[in-house]
Amino acid sequence: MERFGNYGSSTDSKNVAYEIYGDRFHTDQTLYEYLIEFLLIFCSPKSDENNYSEGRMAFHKEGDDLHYFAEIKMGLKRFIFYNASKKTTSIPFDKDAYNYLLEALQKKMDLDSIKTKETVSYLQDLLRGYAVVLKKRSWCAQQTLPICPELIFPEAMPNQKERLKVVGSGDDIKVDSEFEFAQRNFLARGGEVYYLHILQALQNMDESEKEELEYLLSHLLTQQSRKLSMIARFVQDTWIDRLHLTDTQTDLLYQEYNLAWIPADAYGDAGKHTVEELISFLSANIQQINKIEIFAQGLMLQVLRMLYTGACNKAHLRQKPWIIDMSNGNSKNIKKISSRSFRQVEDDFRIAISETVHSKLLDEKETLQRIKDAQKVSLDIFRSKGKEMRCIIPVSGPFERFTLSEDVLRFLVLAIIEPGGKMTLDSFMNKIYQHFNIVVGPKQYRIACQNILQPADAAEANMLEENVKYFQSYLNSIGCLKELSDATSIVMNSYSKVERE
Amino acid sequence: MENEFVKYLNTLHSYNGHNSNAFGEKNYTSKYYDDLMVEVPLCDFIIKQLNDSDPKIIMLTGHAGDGKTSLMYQILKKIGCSFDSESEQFEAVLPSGSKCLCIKDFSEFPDDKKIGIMQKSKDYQNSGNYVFMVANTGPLINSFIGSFDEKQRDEVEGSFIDAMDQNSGNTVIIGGYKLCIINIVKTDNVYFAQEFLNKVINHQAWSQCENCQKKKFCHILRNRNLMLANKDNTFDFIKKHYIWLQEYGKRLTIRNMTQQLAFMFTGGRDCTYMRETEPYLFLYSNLFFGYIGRNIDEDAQKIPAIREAAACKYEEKRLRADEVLFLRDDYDSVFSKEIANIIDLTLKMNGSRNGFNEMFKRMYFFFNMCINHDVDDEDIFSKQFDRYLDLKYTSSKPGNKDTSLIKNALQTIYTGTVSEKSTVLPITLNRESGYTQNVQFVIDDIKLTSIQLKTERKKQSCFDELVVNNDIRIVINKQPLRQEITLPLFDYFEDLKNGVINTNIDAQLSKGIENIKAEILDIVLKDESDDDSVALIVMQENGNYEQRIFSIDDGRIS
Repeated sequence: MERFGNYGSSTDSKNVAYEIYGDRFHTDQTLYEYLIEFLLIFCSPKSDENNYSEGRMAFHKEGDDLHYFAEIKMGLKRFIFYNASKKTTSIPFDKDAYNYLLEALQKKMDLDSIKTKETVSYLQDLLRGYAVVLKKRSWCAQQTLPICPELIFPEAMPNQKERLKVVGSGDDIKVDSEFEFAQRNFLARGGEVYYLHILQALQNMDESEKEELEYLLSHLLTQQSRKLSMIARFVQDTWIDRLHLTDTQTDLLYQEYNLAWIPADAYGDAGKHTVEELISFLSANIQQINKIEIFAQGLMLQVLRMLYTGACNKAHLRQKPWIIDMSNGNSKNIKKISSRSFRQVEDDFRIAISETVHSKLLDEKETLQRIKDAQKVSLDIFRSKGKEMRCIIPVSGPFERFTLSEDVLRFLVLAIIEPGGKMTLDSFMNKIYQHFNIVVGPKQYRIACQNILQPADAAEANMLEENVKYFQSYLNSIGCLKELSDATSIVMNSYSKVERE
Repeated sequence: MENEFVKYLNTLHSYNGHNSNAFGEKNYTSKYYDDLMVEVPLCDFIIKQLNDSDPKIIMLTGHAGDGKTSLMYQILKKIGCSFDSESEQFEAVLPSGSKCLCIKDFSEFPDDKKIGIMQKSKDYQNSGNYVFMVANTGPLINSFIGSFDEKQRDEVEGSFIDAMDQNSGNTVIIGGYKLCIINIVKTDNVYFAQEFLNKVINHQAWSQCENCQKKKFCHILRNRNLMLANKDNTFDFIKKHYIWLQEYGKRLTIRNMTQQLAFMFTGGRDCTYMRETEPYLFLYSNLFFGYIGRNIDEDAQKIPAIREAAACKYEEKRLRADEVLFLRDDYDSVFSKEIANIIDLTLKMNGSRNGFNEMFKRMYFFFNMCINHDVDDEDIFSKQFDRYLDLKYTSSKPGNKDTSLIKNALQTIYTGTVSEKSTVLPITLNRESGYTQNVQFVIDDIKLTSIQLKTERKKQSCFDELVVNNDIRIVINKQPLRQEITLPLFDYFEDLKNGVINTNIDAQLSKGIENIKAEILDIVLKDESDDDSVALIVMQENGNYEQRIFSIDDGRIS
């Protein structure tokens, strides 16, 4: 099998899902952590030379070693999350480290004593206000919205037992460096597979597109939040000062990660679409936090497309349409059509997994176990993330089917139509079919049937007319539709375009 | 004796299911058509296009019922060309001697012929001739784009729908062809009501009624006479009602209006029906909303414009005039003698006021003599309605009150409160999805003095140069925002000022606010200073905020 990326050893090479998709998708990675991991790789230095100054805010160049060096920033993370988290799993050194940092910050403020204390607390409230992955995790495993490079953290697991053995005190560098940074439980390589998917596509595209994407991603992380970066940097640098590191210890502030691999032919043309969609989406001037929130959903939609494309390519299947139900439960017919479409898509996942496992000629027990394991990290992720994004409904119960949530539809509009652009509703529905296999109306339904060599059912096609009306009204309700006249609408991206400086 | 004119009015609406003349193309042959024809301001603009020695394809598009074919009829008649109502396409010779291919309704051609007709039009223009085409929008877009090669289609589609959406009246070159695309939906049609009603009430056919034996109790004649006597108030209310609908996204077509306005005289009854009834029943103030007396007429509600009017539920709103109407029962001071008599009679005959208060309010909208438009419009429509109309349709310029409404609204949107002391508007980087951040990061701020409101003539005003129609925009640092301030936005800003938090705001409205924020952000980021000062907003328990500014320099905060 040809591979794209490093030829490193897989963490679980027995799982055939890795053979289909690459190394790897994992169930525990949350929706935001796909985006966080992708952006972490993008903005981290790609080399440890020259004081970690190379390759920040850029994709790997052809011929580069596929690794990156993430700044661990545990001081900043402790400042944001420590005091607001459960302390049952923390060790005393962290409490000391936290207090030392507060003390050091206060010393760096030329304000009166009341204002000094207030300012520290305001900074903490401010940064904590951007928290995004909390769940019931220990403070070190939490995450913020990735709104500036300083607030994108690598994974850190408590590693309590080991740390208790080796950490000397709260202001020893070991208080930070002995966390487990490479377990990949949460930043579990899903964002990395996505990164490799883009990197692979960029190799076959113009250099200018790579530059544009790099510019837009960098713009996303810096333009509106430049001063937020200053605040975060101030906190982290204050902590680094307090640690009084020797020259040889500065390397402990970074953690090296190697990128794994994806099969070279897994995702076909999807990569080109992914890059073009990202460029269009990121070109819109939107409030940064809104943009990041929609980005997280859009990225996940692109990952769902990767999962399905990978399955179909592996088993040489024609991709079935994702017939979405926009009727909000108001049409039993559309519900049935969409639900059948979802089952067909599920079947394709099963076929791809089953064929791959069977080709290994294992005994029956092993075969079943392998199928189960592979489904867990492919089809189950497809289903659970689809449900989390409200693109697959219902959350539980029968008639599982495709639909679109508000944020995902917004992403589709911004990803398909450039800022300031507009197109007819019909063209928009054609485009989302071409890009995502998403079928809304009868016209796309007929094309999809032709593409999968199945006869189009005239009655079903007619039923989808109603779906178009629901879709139209949904687009209208999120403000992306404009009635021209006479039942003709245009879909528009009314945002202005990010101008390159 | 049956009045043919009344019969004609009844063919203009669909109350009885027969509206043979409601469709423009069937209407031209009626002897009353020319009498009631309202000249469309757009007419002169298109004539100018046909006379400008710059051959092009004029594409007139819009909703069904918007009066496109009637407009073609008017134009050809005005320039002395004949309108061939029997043919789908015909050639006219313009006063300049140029040839013009007229396509009466492009949408009516079978699908397989549309591309061919479009190609013929393109060839016509290429040979230095004019084409004047009326078409529904969907088929027009599909056929025009479909007449190009696959490779060109995306680009042609973008330019074509952009021109249609801009509706500037300019001649544009798309795919190598000169086009003037006019989307009638985007032009003002509210003027129609007053001119149409004027023509109806002044029509000579009413003179026949003078000799009719039923004239004393004929509600149709009564409605006509009442409208003559209450013309100003009636026209004013109807105009404002149509503007209100238009502003809130429910623009009516000329056909919709014609149906409602014709029905408000007759109530769907003709001369043969006429019998003595209580006079209040068929008053046009009731018929306009689809009521007969105090009861809703379900059949009338099938007429779209009537349904929309009823849905406004104006009569359920609290008016300041309620006191005079219902506490003091002082009808003589509000209405003419004739109307006051009808009310007296109604109360006497029915013994109780039950259900009549709403009907009296409907009468008040049309027949009120002590005109106090400002107060009534605030109550019936909205507090900002009259001011909005002034800014939009007159040369009135925004004043301090208007600007302060905008400033207060922006402060509330960004910080949740209006700070009397603050001289700046902080632009915050916060999460919006229901997540409260007590400390918010300020990207930058805008001096409140640099925020203004401005009016400028609408682009589409080239279609009717005599009528003032402005766009109202917020200006920040002398830069006008693209987002227009619409009536719903004005009303929303007024709600914010009064502390009304509406959690269920309309999508187009929230999109408008989102656009304003995105544009403000653009301005702020372009002007962002490079200094190291950081500003935060700290929310206080009393709902106000405190702004903290510090600078980070050389690893220290001061």
